Amino acid sequence: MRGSTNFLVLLALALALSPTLVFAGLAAFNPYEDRVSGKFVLEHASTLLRLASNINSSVKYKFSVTWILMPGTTNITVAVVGLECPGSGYTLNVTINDLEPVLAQGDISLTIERRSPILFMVIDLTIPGSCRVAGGVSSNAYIRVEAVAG
Amino acid sequence: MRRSPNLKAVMDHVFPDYTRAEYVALVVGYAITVLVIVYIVIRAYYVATIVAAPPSPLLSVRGYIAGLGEEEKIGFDISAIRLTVSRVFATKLWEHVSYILTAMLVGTLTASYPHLSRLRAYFIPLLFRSRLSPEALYLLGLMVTYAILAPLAFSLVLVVYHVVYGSVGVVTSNLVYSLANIILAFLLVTSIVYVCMVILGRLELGVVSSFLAIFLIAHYYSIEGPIGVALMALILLVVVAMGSILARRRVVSV
Repeated sequence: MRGSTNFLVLLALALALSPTLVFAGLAAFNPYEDRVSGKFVLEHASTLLRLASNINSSVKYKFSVTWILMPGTTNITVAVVGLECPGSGYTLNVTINDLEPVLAQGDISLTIERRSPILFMVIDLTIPGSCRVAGGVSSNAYIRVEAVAG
Repeated sequence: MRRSPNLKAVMDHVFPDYTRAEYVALVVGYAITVLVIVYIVIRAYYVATIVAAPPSPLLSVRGYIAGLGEEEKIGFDISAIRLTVSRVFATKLWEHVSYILTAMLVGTLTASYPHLSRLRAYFIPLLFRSRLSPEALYLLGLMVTYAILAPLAFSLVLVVYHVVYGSVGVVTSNLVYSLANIILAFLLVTSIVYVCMVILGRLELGVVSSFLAIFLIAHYYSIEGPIGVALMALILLVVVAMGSILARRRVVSV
């Protein structure tokens, strides 16, 4: 191999092997999970709701979740479990990464496109005082968050 | 170890033309380099994302009554997290730069070995052709450098003694330790330049490999930052310039 032949062989090898090896490496060494979920208990929800109903107010829960998840199309579900609301239900306000906040009465299920492995969510839950925790004081209400990528 | 006739026959059958072995070496060297770099980059980014992720609630979240309690404030946003990821990623990548350089060095050597094994015959005999040749003088200068610097490397023993018995302050011990590191690095660099030039058989590849090795050593000995790199580059240039200019002139004249 000399001169132009050497150069052409090197160029052809680089062009052919670079994407192949990079994709093979990404497939072989990818450490990211494709599914993650969490259950976050609403602390003292029963007591807070009883107090809020007495002063005609509402109860708020606000927290953030940061998960490391495989990039790509992601289905995200946010649901509140264990609440009984006779009138207007709870309001969920979820902000995912730098997308516009998603405001919904009731549970949220949406699909987003992520290019980064970071999934950052700010979850803001407002429960009217008319709601009660199903099962009474001894029971728990919780928010269930699930993200499935791929 | 001599190859058996059967193995030789197999090798001749697989590689009837030596050029094919060079192609295989190129592919193997390229694969080593790319896969190791991809692995290190992926791991560094993974660790960066884990480190940068703010803590999420483990089990439960606190609530408050609207209008009575203070609203929970989220002290970070996605841009702050991304900034932390990029910073940690750069740090992690720099921590593994020696592995990347080693992979590049091994890949380069693997890919270029068949080619260099033929060229080696041109350079090595020049070093031993005459006892007064420039190459032989370069070798002599190298040995003198070793002779002068090797005893200084024993200052490491002094450092260990003082640190163990606590008779030297932290600043002083760090200073002596750094000095010992630099001396050891000097010895290593000198030998690496020489080994690269002689074993590889090609001066320009010897210089490139030496540059890769110099950053590896600088990182290994934690001589980092602009001062460390400048110091190592200066040492490298002094050593390489002497040997390569003399040897190249000799090669050209031959």
